[in-house]
Amino acid sequence: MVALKSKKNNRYMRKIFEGGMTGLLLACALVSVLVLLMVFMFLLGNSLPFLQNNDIWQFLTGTHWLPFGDFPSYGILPLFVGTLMVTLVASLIAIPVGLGATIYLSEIASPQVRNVLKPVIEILAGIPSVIYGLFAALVLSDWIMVIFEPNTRLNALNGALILAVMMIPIMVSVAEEALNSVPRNLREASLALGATRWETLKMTIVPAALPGIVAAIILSMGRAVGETMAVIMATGNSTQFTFNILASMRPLTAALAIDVPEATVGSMAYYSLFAVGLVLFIITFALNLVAEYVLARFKEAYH
Amino acid sequence: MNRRSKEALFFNIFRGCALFVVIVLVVILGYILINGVGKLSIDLFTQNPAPNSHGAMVAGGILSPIVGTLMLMAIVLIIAVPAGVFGAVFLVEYGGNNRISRAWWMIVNNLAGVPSIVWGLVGVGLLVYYLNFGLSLLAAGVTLSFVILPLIMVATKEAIEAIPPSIREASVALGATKWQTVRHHILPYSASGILTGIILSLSRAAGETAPILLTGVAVNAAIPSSLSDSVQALPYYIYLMTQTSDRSAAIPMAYAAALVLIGVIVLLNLGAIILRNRYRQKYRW
Amino acid sequence: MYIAIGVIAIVVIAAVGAALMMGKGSNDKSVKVLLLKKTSSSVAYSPMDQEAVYNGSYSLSRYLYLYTDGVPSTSSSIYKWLSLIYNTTGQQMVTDAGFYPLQTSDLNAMKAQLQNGNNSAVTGAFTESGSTTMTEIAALWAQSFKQSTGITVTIKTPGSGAGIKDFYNKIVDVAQASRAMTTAEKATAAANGITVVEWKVAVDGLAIIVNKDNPVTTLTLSQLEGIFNGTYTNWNQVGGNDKAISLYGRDSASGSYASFKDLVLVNKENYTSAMLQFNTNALIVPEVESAVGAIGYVGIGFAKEASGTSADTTLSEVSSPVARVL
Repeated sequence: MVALKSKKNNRYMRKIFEGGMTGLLLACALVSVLVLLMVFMFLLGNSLPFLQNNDIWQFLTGTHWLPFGDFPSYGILPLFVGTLMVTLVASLIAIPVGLGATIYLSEIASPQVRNVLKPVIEILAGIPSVIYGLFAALVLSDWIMVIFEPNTRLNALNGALILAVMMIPIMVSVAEEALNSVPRNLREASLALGATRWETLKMTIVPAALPGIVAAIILSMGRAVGETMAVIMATGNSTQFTFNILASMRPLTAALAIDVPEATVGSMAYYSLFAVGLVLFIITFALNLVAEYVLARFKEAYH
Repeated sequence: MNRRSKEALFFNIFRGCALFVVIVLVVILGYILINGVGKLSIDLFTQNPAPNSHGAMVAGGILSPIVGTLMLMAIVLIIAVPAGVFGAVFLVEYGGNNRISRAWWMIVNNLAGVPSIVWGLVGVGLLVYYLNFGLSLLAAGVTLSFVILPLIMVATKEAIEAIPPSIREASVALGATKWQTVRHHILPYSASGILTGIILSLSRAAGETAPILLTGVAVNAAIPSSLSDSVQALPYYIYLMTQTSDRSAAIPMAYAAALVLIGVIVLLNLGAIILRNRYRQKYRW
Repeated sequence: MYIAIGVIAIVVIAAVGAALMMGKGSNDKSVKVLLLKKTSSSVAYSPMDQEAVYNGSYSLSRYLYLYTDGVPSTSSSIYKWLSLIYNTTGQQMVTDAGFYPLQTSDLNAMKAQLQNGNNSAVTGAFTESGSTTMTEIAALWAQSFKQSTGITVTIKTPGSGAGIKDFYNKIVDVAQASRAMTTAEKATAAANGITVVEWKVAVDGLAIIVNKDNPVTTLTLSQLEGIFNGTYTNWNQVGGNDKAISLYGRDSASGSYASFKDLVLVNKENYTSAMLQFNTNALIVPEVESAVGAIGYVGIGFAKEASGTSADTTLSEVSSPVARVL
């Protein structure tokens, strides 16, 4: 009888403990959920006063960004073009080089080389952006000055080149996963039919891994769009509206870093900066969404 | 060009791409090493930054930036890691696979990709002004935690999801409760992945500038004695040194601080790799 | 394979080292400080000419300011801070940083303002936020203050506009600014319960710097205005060679941005959007050094270092208003 009773107590204690631990985990989850939601709401909520009181079309297409002063002008087109130009030019370099390096890493390299190359990629991914900015401002800009002779030493090309360096590690890690997930039998079948390794790659493996590769490209572009410190130190931050890659530009992220310290809480400039933050958030959100969709389709096809 | 030589051509191009990537790393690290190593000394690690005779903060050392970075990492460790790891565990194990949980993870994934300057913006509005933390170590640390929280949640989720369902099912079939399954099977097997995620997130926190730039740094901050003090940090110090007068003295200090920061990050990454390997030995499935 | 990588690494590092050695050779870069004249027929003055800066003959003279909430009483640490600033040690530090100390009349006026203070709210460590132009001066003051009184003054430099904003939001106790507070800012401060007291602490002459190889030595104020509002885009329009003008200035949080605008863009127009904008004075100097068509504005402390003159100017050098060639 005693043995039965103590067994019942044990189970009761265990149930309470179980409930307690579940509750603790739930509390942690609630904290993280609440924090992230609150932050998102804060961003949204502080953009509304700007969006409600200003012409959104003028905001998106106006060519003068001057949120302070007696006659402020809230056109983000120069900022948007700044982000666009540095990201685009960076992608033009990073995509071919990154994919080439990925293919080499996953298909051609011997295991010893892979053991060197993978840590190299991981270290490149871990270097903080302020150090890349340091290099761009002090070294890369001088090289660009010598080769291209721009009017200003700091320009969008400087930003684009350093962004390309920062994009490559992300592209390589995601694309490498994609290439590795292609089932072995596809590869072996192609080789068995007499194709060279290159032909196998070109016609079978890469097309099969294409969604993963596309996702890698998009994710690395997201990194470029969101980068702040490196572009602030590299591009000169002028607010001119231009497509000349050798001219100085101000990407959206740089505009936030430069203008936020001065904005008075509750002023229209303050809300306009949250609107810029919202634009950035939407751009990276859209890029992530597309990448996730592409990856989900890809996973479906092979699992 | 026949098929063999075509293959050789393209493979050499790809080899060149990989070589280019290696060269880029060697050049960047090389510049930092060569320019920074001359400034390495005991003084560098034991003195706070101090003004030279002209007032430029290039004299002294980088003690307060190093300690400040460590303190910021500690705050992130205390706030973001428990909330992130245990929160993700709860959401994966107890949350199920319904629409709400999928929407939630979509939000988390996207918040992980938000530019860090946007977090800085939120940090200023929410923490410095609305919650009255002021420009302080606390505001900077909490803003950094916002940046890191989604990253840790995603890393934890992926570590847990890598565990085959058979282990979970076996545990439940043997009569274990949910918590017992989590405690004795899920957590140990995913521990290496979770720890790696934590360490990588901390090393990311060590290098972030934008979130702390707007919220808690000061030019001559010493080691903070309370959470409401201003703080120095290695990435901020580097940024500061690139825009200080007396450049012939400032630039080498920037490189030296960059060398130390990279050293810290490499150490953390190495630690992650070692831990990952050791755990992998212990817990195989 | 490892050998190959090792060889490549050594070769690259050697190349990098060689490049650095070559780079060190070109350390004799410097910039040229322009002389300014009010109209094409007046005398041209240099910002290195202390007397010209003091009496306004040099057109871009300005004060550097501190702002406090009320006049501090003798028990307040802010009182001790201002006392340090207004005695010879503090003013000598202004000179050490390359700027001009207050003239005797201003100094006496400030010392008089320091009497009979009644705000004793701040008695320990405090924070001062604002101008990047004043970073060096404030750092020297803070170090000396700590050594003599043991009190820590934390200096933040987000820019004059941001520092003033921190001040009237009561996030910091003192603002340092390279421009005066506007009436709107003073009104906001008053609305927050702050009694704004303005303290002149040093004198600055905004120097116009150009590349060493630029033949232009003098500009009129209206030419300067035309350059910075985008009217003139080539140096041959203002007496120089055929070279596009590239502009380097500060960002909108900066007091120098605002004071330069007030002094030069007198028709209330904006800077041209082609101007590159920087967080601090020190960033402008290397850009002007490296681009032949460059022109920028910096505080005198930064121009002195960049143009290779020593930070000390003795009063005996200043006698005539005639332009000094450096």
